[in-house]
Amino acid sequence: MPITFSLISQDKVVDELEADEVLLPTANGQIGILPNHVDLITTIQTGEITIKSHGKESHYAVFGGFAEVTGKEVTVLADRAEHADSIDLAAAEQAHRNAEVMLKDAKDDQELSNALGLIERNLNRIDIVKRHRHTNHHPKSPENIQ
Amino acid sequence: MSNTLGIRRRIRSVGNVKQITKAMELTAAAKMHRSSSAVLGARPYAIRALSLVRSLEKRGISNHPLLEVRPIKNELLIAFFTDRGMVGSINAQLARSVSQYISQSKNNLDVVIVGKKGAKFVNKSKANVIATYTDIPSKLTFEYTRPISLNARMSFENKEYDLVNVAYNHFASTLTQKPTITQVLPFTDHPDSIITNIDTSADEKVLLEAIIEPDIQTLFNSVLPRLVDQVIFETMLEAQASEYAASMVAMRNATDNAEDLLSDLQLSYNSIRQSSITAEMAEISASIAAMED
Repeated sequence: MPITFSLISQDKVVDELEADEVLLPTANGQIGILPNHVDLITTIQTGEITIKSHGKESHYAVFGGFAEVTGKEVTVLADRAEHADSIDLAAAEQAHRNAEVMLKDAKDDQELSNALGLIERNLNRIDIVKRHRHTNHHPKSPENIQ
Repeated sequence: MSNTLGIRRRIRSVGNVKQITKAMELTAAAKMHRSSSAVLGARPYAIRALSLVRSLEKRGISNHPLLEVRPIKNELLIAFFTDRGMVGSINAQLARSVSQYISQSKNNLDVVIVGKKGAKFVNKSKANVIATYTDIPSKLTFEYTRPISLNARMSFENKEYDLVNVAYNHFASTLTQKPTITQVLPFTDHPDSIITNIDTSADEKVLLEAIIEPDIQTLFNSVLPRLVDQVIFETMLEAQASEYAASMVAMRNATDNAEDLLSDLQLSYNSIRQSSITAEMAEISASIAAMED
């Protein structure tokens, strides 16, 4: 009895699929969700979601949000989310370098927190791509490089 | 013959105009489809987040600065106009209902204007404009609307405003866009409130027994502002769909008018040409008749 996993970002439904196990980066650390998990509502941190289905894994980069877990469903409402395969490593590294420049030139708290957010987000993307490089032969151009 | 030359020139120029308006109609149609599917794309998040808020409320949590209902002294109106013209009358319609709203309001009212056309209108009215946002990207992103919603949220939480409304053209259909003013903050269920537009009936599960991490108040505090941002993002997406629909219809009308004009011109060109031929024929036959005599 697989879990229905849906990943919803603020502008679209990123993915909807059946999973045997879901790993979520929650506020209290990484947790694994198996079918018939107890009902749970939790915040999600910037990190990686891993979906295991029929012995295969897929990975998503997420940036903040919430997850609603029931025995049959896992719904993640993420501020941003993208499939690991759709991350363009070169673009993420460039975005990271730009963000570091922004950080140095930041004039107020707003700019500082924007820059820090971008750095955190792009480090996470770079990290995920590097960790799963062997499964990432076909990078598609991502829509939301910042 | 100089008369027919003039008409031929006009036929050519009207024909060119027709081609241009036809092309603009097609571009607007493509953009409209894109932004109406963007509205649908943003829906699931709003529905799930609202039903999450509702289930947290059912578990007894309901205090958040964004929900606070206060006696209204100061209010903010965020009006979503368009950057570009040639969109029929939607900006004028919205301007009319916004001015009406401003003149009827008994409170201190500040206005935030989105779109260049809005800035143009507001110069004429006595509204107190505190901010203007222009250069709307044709593919609207969350990043564009976030500063707008963030400022609205912060100033509501700081009690600078006791009421925040949005004014936009509601996308009823391709042919009708209705100027609408609805309440965003306080973010409560209210007949005029924006959240009554979100139908959560498909997602009514209430997780009364669920474990909540890190704790219910932290979760609530993090969902609610995001939902407000989402609702404002969706409103602007809808305003944009209305803009493109109105632009498409305006350009279609222009194309149809050009077509009518072309057929009128063609008709008068033909009749002038025919009458000059008839006149020539009459002269020729008259001269033949004169030679035969």
